[in-house]
Amino acid sequence: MVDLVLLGDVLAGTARLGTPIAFAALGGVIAERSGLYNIGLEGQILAGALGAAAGSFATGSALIGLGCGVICGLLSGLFLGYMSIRLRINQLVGGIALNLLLAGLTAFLSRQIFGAQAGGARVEGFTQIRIPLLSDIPVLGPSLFSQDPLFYLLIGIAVLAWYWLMKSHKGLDLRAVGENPKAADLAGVPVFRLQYLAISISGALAALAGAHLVLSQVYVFAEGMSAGKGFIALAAIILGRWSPIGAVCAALFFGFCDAAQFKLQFSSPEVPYQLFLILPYIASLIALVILGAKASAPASVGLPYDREHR
Amino acid sequence: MEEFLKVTGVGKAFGSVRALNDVNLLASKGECIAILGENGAGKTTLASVLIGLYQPDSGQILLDGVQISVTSPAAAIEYGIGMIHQHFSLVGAMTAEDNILIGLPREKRGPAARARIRQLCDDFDFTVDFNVPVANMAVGMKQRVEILKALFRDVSILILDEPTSVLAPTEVAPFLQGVRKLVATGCLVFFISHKLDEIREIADRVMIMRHGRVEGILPVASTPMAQMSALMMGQVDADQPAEKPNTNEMRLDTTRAAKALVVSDVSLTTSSGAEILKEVDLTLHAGEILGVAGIDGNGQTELSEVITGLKRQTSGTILLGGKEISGSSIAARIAEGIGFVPEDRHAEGLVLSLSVEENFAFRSIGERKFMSGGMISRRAIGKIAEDAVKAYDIRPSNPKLNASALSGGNQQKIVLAREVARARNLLVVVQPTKGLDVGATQFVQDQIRAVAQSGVGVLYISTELDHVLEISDRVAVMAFGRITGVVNPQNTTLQNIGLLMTASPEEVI
Repeated sequence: MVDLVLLGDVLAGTARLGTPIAFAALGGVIAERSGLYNIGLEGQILAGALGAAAGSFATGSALIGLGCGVICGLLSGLFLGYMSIRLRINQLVGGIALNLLLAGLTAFLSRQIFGAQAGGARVEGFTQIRIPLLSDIPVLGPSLFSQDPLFYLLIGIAVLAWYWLMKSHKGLDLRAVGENPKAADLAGVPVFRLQYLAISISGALAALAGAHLVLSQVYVFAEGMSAGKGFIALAAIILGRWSPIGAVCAALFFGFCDAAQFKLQFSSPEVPYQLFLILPYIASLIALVILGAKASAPASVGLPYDREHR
Repeated sequence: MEEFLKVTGVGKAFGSVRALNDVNLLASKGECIAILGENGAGKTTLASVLIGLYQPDSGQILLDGVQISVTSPAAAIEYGIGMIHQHFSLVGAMTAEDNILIGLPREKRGPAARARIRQLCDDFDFTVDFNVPVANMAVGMKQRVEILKALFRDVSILILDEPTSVLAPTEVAPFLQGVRKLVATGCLVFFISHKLDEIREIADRVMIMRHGRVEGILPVASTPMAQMSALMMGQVDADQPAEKPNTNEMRLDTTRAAKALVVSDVSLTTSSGAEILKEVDLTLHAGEILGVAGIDGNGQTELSEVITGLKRQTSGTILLGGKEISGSSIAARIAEGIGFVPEDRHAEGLVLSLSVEENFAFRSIGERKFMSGGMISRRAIGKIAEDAVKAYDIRPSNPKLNASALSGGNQQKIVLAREVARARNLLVVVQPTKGLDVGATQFVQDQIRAVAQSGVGVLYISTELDHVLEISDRVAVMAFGRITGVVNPQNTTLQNIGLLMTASPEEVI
């Protein structure tokens, strides 16, 4: 039965470590479906984390902290949208610039807010919610049905995003913008409004990833705590074929690799731990090589739309 | 005449280019107005202003006597103005139904919408496959989806931008039938075209544009075609058709001239085993124009690519002026004096985001005439570009403009001017008149004749048979990757060429 316990542990870790990647990947999917790259996910995770930590620190309420984090994400999304849509800045450059800006800004602000503790201040967070009956299922119960509320929020948002994007009329318009903005424009779609909406939602979702790190995992803000999750999320978008459900599944796969490498570290202390740390990245590379070749991105992603362009 | 649409004094400039200049127009419901003009005359620009893609610099648009401002395509839809673009604006990855419904308010998208789309299909006798993504459709069907999209939005003004240029000959008649029905329901249709016979068939009046101005709006029935084309070309005397010398008689006998190009036994097989070219043999003399005719996709494009080095043949040899170039690099072939006007001038012939003068120079950077002290000499480039702009009458005549700012015909002139200059031994042209109007076509043909006169061998590959027959000394016909026959255009029949073009692979062997 030792193996089952181990499996349960890894599954619980998968959900915990995969959730922030999944939030960010969802955000990326919505942005790219509207024709905009969001390379700024990494920085926006930090913005969300700082917002959540500061909100919770000031009020003692994790829920208010969550709200503050989401607002920070929305604003950073709007800023990225302004650069990409209005100024038509190269979207890769704009995203990287945003990452650098937010990495510096959050480090600076965290010292201002938390003072001498420099982010070491412990804040209120969420506790795990055990779902009655389901959480009593062996192996799966403790790992998937006694998680923190943000994990359940993720599942809810993923389903909602899938329905909105693939089934609703606004979603059809949004996808049309990402495929062929001129065609959408000529059909009467408010191209720029939809793109602003998508990039803002994208920022808010990335911020939820940061909020999860602070409010459900470590209860403190730390500089650079996003630790590459925003970039792994970019890979999850491709692996998930630009589908909200697919991206979440891909993110959870990366979470699984991460959880597994932790377990391996403990079970094989004689192997240098750096080798195990590589594991999630190797897995993502292999997965991209195998599955990514067939993927097809929205046809106009990354190309700024200019109505009067000749 | 009941006044429905009124356009007064509309002007639009792109940088220093005046694309529209004081355009005035009066039109009523249930009318079909053809818009005729050369490439770059401002036809499409006017249409883009009407549907809110471009904002005019001056002028007014009135609908039913009320001034409207079409600030966006969405606003145009509100006013009932729709347009079918030459290169459709459809989302390839989506189905016909999704494409039609994009952008509509929620209440128009219910289950009733599906029924209405099918009803429209019935009303206009349209066949549309609703189960496949638009990208997998034939052009004719794509166009029907575009029209359905406009009909579904209840347009009262529909602009068709060269709608028949993409259609197969058999698709044209049913399409015109559909347009006629639309006009009968009271729609105002603008029909942009440079095909006079179609205008004759479909339009009530014809509006002729030239250099961004309206030259005249005339009833089609009582206006002779010669007058239309004269207004379009800017000829003052309508009775005098453009003089066309019978150049073939002036041509030299080139059969004794040196061989400019010898292609012997060239085959090209793809990695998947498809035989694109099969044992092609061709001889081209210096000063000769050898036409290559055939239905699109029978290996003509690949033949041009094998000769210019873009593709490597699987077997066979190519001799240029007696020197073997079968294995030479593209750069080496250019150095041997091959000029190449590729089929797709946007993708292969030009860099649209570079200026006209840079487009002239970029294939020759490193040659001494463009360099000074190890650096690119802007002055030398500017000088050469300016001369070419003058010699080829490229408009607008500013070589500092981006190539993208020019119309298709003028872009083709840039490519031609550049390649003619480097073609010392051989000029390979593919579809040089594609999408060009009568005037530009004539100009391009004349330039190619002049090149041949100067002793360069010209390989003229085109699917436009009458152009090939008009210009060539001899015509090689291709079918299924083979040369099925070489004929003299003076003493052959269209029937004979048609048979060679459709010769099945078995017959060829």
